[in-house]
Amino acid sequence: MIKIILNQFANLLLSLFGLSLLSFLLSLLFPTDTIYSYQQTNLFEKYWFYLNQIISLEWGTSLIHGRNVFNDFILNLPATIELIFFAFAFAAIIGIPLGVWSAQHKFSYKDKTVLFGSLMGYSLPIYWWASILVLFFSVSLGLTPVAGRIGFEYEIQPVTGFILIDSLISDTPYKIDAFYNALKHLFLPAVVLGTVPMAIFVRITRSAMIDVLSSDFIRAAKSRGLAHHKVLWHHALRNVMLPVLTAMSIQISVLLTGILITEIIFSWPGIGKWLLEAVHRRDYATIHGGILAMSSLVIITNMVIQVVSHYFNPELRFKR
Amino acid sequence: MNLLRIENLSISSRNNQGEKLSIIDNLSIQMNSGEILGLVGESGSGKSILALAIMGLVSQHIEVKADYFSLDGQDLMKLSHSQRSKYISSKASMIFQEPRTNLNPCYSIERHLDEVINIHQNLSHHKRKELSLELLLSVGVNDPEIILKRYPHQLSNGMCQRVAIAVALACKPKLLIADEPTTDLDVTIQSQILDLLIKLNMTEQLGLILITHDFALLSESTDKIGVIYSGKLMEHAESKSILKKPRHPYTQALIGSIPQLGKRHQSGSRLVTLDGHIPSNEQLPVGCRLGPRCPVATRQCVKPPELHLIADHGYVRCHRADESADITKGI
Amino acid sequence: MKHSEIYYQADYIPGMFENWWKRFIQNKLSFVALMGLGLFLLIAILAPLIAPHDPLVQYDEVFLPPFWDTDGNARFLLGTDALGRDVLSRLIYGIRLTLELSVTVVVIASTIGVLLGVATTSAHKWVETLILRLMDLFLALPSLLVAIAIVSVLGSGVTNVIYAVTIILIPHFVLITRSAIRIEMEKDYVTAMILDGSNKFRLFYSTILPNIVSALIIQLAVALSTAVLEITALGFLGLGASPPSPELGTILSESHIYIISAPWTVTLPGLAIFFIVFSINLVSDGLMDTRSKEQ
Repeated sequence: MIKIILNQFANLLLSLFGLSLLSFLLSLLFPTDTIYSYQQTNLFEKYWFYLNQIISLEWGTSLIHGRNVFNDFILNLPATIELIFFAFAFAAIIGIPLGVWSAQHKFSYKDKTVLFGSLMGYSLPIYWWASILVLFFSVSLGLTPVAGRIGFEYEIQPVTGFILIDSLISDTPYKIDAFYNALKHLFLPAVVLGTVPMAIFVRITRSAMIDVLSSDFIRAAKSRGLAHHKVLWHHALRNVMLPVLTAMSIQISVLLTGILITEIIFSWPGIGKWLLEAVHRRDYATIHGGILAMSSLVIITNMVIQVVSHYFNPELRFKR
Repeated sequence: MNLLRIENLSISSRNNQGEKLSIIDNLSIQMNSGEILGLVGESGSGKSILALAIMGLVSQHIEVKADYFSLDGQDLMKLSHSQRSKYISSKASMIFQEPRTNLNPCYSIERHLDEVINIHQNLSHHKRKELSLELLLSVGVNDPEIILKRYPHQLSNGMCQRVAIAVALACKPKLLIADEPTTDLDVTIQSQILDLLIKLNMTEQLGLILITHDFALLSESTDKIGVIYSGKLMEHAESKSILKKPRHPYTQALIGSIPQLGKRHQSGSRLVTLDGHIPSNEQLPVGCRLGPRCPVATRQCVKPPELHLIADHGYVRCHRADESADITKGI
Repeated sequence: MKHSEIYYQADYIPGMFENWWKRFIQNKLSFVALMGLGLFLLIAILAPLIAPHDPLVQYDEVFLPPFWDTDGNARFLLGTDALGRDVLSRLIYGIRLTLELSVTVVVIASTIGVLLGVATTSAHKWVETLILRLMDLFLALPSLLVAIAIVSVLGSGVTNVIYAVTIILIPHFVLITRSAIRIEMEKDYVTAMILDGSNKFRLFYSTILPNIVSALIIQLAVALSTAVLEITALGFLGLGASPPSPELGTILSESHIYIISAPWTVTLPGLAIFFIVFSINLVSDGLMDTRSKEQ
């Protein structure tokens, strides 16, 4: 196990090194002096200087408002994490059981309906999907707000940056109301962001489940008198989780793509909106920092998921 | 007492066009407790699905019908679905062809055994572990403490099959169905596993159904043999008498196709083979199912033959069983 | 007496493609989707002939609703947008432009990707490692982020969108080609060909290529749907084709602020994108089905 972690860590370092080369290239291609004013003439010396700056978190200052790019990133990160967490929870809580259910009724009309629906979800352009949901939930039903994280009538002191936590630990008299209000604001963006991953979860869970359910050890477990739900939720699902975990690591990058669009549409003050505004204003230091930070995040999360899925798979866990 | 008695079991499924396809056709079989019954047939003859039907494991879109079906004295058809599966799991157990697929790759051996013991016997955790060790010892695992901690992928094929047998025994079954238990194993391991099954049969009074396509495997160990071809029982009799004098041309062909070790085959002599292959259940031949392939078939074989009882032998499904035609000696 | 005539004997054995086609149309849904996709292609090709108006001309009637509305006008079947342009014509030209861009991107990406994929299996060890590492890195990065990086260096515009989305799609082709070839190389008939003394080119052309074609076709379909989604997403974010040009994503980004006052200007282009992507996905699903039945 330790060897696997070390191996993954080496892989991670290699990927980050590759990423640093790409982002160094980016910093050279951007108009001069927008990020760093290199004094060096030699390319290697330039890269060495660049690497030192990145590691010491000196990511330059924004050309628009002069703030430190890395601090800006940290400031905007919690809103995005909050959104991703709920989108993922939505996708997994609905997608995985639906996939299991569909696999149990394989090739029936129920299964075909679910498959058809999931293919539709998979094909949705999410910026359009967001508009449709806004039209339905906000305009027609008047249930959910259309923008922001919380109503302007509530004033919440940022402590952790996570608005749900902050609203609960704040000492205002209306904190429960504020919490519900924040939850309402979260609902639509999370659904929009979670739809495509949900559709993918359904499909992967279903196909993996069908494979596992037709294997002999499931028959064997049934023949030894195990209850149906135990066979399904213990024996089968445990084996299904491996492909699902792999899918999850691919979903992280899909989610981040979705984040950019979702945050713009719902004016969600996270890193996606921050980055895209920088793109429109040609704030090169922020663009560079945002791309670097988001890419590193994806690479690191992927490694963590790899390690977790190794842990869940005994065949890999004990490999020497 | 009959351990297993099945009368007129039919299994069928439907194809894409909704036509009914017969997989097993009016099959009757019985065995006593402590006996070894061998079921032989080519792949595609329906022997594996028969085993699954006995265990109640066939999928829902496959139709299973029988006139009478009892296991260890209990008429299974009088039980509700859930009662039946519970009853069967306490009386019968099954191991499959591929040793590795018998076991869940995500669970350790200990968890496999513990889970099954927990269902069938109410024991403390400590007792369960003791019993697990005992079970592993009884299937010939020499270092059960180590094996208990292992995962299926860490064991050899032969060891996996032993463990699978141990898990099957944890249900305390009276009947063990082994579906091609040795086909995927090396030859030396094959005989070890077979010896183990026979030893368990003798020491624990365990009824055993051995399903195989290999007649050689059954020859000395079984009490009774059933020969299945294309979903029909062709011959069902004591093994001694089948081996001494097979009555059905198909049985004769199966036995005749085994090369004999140590016997030098004369030049020009050939092993018995049947032309063609087993018919698919979408295009069953008219009359006797073996008809198109049978070297001794005559005009009357266009009518489907019934299962005749032949004195001092058993049941044979052939019009010419009495004439004792023998395809191995030329027609 | 043997009755071998009882067995069914096929007197006509269909060829590889015919067999494949028969299996493919068994799935009626993917057949319908293929027809739908054909319809979209037809619209794209015939756009100048069937569009009732010029997509860029601004008429006096602003925000005219579609014909089924009481205020609708048969002259503008699907109404007009904020600047008085005919929505139907913009849709037709939008389908044309979006599909044109997507197909271009997929053709370029698949050519480069397959060549690189073949290169990794036959080139030097270090070339292989270099290409694979780079591809792994690009695969790990969120595609839109890569596109943003490229667009922010080169500036927005149609050509830069093509570059960006091509770079996103290449790694998939490289990896698919590579893994398909590697699986083929282990097969016994390939070993037999090598033992028979066939050279590399012949081995690839006559033995390996026919067996990896189905994997590549599926990847083409998947790439096409990704391309449509990415190109329209870039358009929506204002990083793609610039405003007056009728690209479906750009049309959406222009009109999505009018979602409440003029919903048809948002729902219709979105539906067009959705149906294009959906039909491509149905077709590729059908292709995967057909392939798994083959094996």
